Amino acid sequence: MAQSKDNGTSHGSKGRINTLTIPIWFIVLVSWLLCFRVYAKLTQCEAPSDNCVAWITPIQFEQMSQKPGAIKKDLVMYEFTADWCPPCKKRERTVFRAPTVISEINNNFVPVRVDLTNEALSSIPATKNLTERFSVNSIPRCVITLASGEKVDDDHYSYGDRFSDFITASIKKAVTVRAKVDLAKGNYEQAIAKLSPDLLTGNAGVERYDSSDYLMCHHLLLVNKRQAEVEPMMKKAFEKSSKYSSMTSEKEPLLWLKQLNMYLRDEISDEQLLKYKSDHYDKATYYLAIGLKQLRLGDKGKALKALHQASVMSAKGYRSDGLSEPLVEALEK
Amino acid sequence: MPLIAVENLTKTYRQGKVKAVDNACFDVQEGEVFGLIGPNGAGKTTIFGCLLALTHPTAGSIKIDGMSPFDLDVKPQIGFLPERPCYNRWMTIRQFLAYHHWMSGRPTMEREAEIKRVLALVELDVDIKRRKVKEMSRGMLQRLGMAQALIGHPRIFFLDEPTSGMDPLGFILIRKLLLKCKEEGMTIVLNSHHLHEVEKVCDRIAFIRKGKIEEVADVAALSQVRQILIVSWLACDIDAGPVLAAIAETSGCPLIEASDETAKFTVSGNEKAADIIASLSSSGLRVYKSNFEKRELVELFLNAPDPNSGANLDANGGSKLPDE
Amino acid sequence: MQMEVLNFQMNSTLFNPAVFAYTLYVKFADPRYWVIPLLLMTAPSFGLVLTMSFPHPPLTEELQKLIAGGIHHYFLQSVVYLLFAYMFISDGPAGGKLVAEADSLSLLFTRPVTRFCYVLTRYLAAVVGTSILMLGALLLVYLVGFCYGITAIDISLLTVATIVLNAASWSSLVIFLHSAPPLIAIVTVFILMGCAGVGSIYSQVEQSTNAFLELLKTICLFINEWFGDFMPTSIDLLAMSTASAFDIYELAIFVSNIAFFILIAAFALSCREFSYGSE
Repeated sequence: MAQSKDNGTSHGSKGRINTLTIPIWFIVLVSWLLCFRVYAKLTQCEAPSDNCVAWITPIQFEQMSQKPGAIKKDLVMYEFTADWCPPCKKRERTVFRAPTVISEINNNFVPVRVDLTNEALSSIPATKNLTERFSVNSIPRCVITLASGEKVDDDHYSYGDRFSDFITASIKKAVTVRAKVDLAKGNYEQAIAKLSPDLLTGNAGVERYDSSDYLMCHHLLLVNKRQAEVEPMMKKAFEKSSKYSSMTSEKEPLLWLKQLNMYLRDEISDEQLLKYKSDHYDKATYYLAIGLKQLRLGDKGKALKALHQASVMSAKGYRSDGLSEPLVEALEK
Repeated sequence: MPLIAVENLTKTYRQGKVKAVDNACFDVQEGEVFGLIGPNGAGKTTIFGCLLALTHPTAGSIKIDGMSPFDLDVKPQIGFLPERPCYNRWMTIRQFLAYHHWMSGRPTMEREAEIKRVLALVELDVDIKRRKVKEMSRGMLQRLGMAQALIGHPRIFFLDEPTSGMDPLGFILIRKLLLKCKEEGMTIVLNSHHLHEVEKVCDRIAFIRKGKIEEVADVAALSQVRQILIVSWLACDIDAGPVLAAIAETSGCPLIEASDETAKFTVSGNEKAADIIASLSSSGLRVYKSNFEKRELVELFLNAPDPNSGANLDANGGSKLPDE
Repeated sequence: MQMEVLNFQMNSTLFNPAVFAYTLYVKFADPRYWVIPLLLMTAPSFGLVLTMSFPHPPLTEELQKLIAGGIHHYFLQSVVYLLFAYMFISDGPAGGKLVAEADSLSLLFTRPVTRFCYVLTRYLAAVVGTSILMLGALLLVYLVGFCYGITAIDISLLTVATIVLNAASWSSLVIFLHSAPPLIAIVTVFILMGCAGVGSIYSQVEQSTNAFLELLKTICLFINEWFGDFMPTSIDLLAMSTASAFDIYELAIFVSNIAFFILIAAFALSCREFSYGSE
């Protein structure tokens, strides 16, 4: 290779080492590795024919959703991907090949593969609707929704185990999302039936950024006339939440929860609650609490105002609580 | 068989637009001191680059002891003093020499003795070992470079502009060192644009201009061949002009310069000089002093009439050469 | 002298102990070259731990996992490896004068060192040096965490292997940048980076009847498919080993990229000419 450059001065004798020569064994090694890479590409990147995720296209999904009863599963997984996107392919290799993941997806989800490889594919209405709805501006992206359309969770760049964790977590999360949908529709009994006992007893604690679950439990217990369970739930939840307290650098951790609880116990007024200095997440939580209280009291106007504020605040904090928006929609109707 | 054989060496840059070396041919015998001289940009450094396998020749062949300069077996046989002493500045002298000794793959056991030996050769104090390269002056660096090149008794010693940046004492040192190396049977190839301090060491010299080797000459013969005789006589009323012209014609030695009391002749040997002095005396001029003009080899070469054109090259390069 | 510690003789055209020792010694002899990077590497975790220690709460398991996860990703940062590998391979930062690099190389190649040997030795030295710095930093982070009761930081064999492999990956890019003439090196790396990005052109071109455009699209996609991943990458063995499907392809690209870059580095150096003079 390099020896050919050395024209005119190269020596004919054998066994001598030219300082420019790259050893032949190294060139062979590199060639072998490159061949192995091609082999790996050909074998690894072709989808296996037998056991695999039963992907459908967005068009197929649209057709299915028009026929009642065609969609048998309650969850939909949209995987946004493209041929030219190396991370997408990595996800294909590391996630959608594992038998456990495949069976989990096939058992629980309607898997929809949204191919954005080219204009012809990404400009069809079925795809365009999806990319706009979930504001997909980078791939790979996985969005999980209920079959009825409510978004459960999404994921950007997870591979391997982290992605299977995401699937498991979203299956759990879907339960509360369904309850929230029922709550918005006013189906309180169905909603509470769907909630896990962990949430209803306060065993799961309260996460600051997911406080809508807590408020929903509180609300459902009250509207379902299970007042006796409310106080123990709040107590237990507060106790369990203290485990998150050390993750913040606040002087008094869980102050926001104390304030919220005082409000829920009718110890302070709406104004006093909102006076507490807080960020967008807390504000969203407080407005949601106020909205739900007004809802229980039957003041739909006030409730709508507060819930609207809650959805605005949660949007500002780049986090949807999943409850204020459907409630606003239901009330506006 | 010559130790270094260069045949039709050509090196061009920019797809043949610039010819740095044009069809150079020369041999260096074992134990010889060979000088490459020529003005700046003549291609001396490029020839060195090819000899040291740092550049790839465009055409032609180089054989060092029958091997290509790119051969690994050639490397332990050569020592090289670069023109610019850009050495690893942060190292101490000892580390620098040890590094080069180690890199050349010579036995570890000999290292300390070898460092002492080369430092003594270039007349650097052994105490200097602890000093850092960056603290050294230009002349000292040049000595360090030579010490580095001499590690492990190389068979061939390449010196690129050995006298640049050296003080007069350094000149003497280099001459002494080169003579000593020559005595030990080392082959020396050096390259310079002014050889006047080291010319006495060279056995043969190749003159290079614009990438071409114009002449390879024996130093001893060369200094015999072209000398300039200056004669002075006492003032008298004889018209010297016609006399001098006649003498120049009869002896075959061209007259360079003439005045009322002195004249300069180019002579090719002591015989001719004696003839001229004799003819001057016989024509009535009372010569009281005559001697050869002291001239550098380069100048001698460059002032010589070009064998092809017959014109004097003085106008172009000759007198413009830096003469320190 | 420390250089003598590595003083052994090895008659090989693949490895020159002097060049190896020199490359490491240059940086490790001067404390500035390893103390400052080590402190910089550990500074964020010091800060993190200190912030946590202010209210003195008991560290929960979740928090420990969070810190450990953060630190794990911190040690996968490609830029850190790239900088350290550059520090070891380039002569610039040590010599003081950047110009000296080509000159010291030309002097080096008058010694019995083949170009391939130089590339391999320098590369190995960079891998060892970078790994030592990274592992040192990891150990420091671990000890700091240990003092504050964080035991979740993983310092297993797998982490060590990940660090060494990443050092190997990024050093191969730097040795190429060091060996090839700067312009050629930059152009090559740009082209390889372009191969990865060229696929997205495909998404922008509308479906057309123009045969030329269709051909262009096909070519772009082909280049992307086969040459898009010809750049050294980071690897996370921990994630790979726990993943539900082992990615053999990823490993294949990783290893072949390293070998490929060493090969082109050696090739570039073999073709390179050293004009040491004033020309």
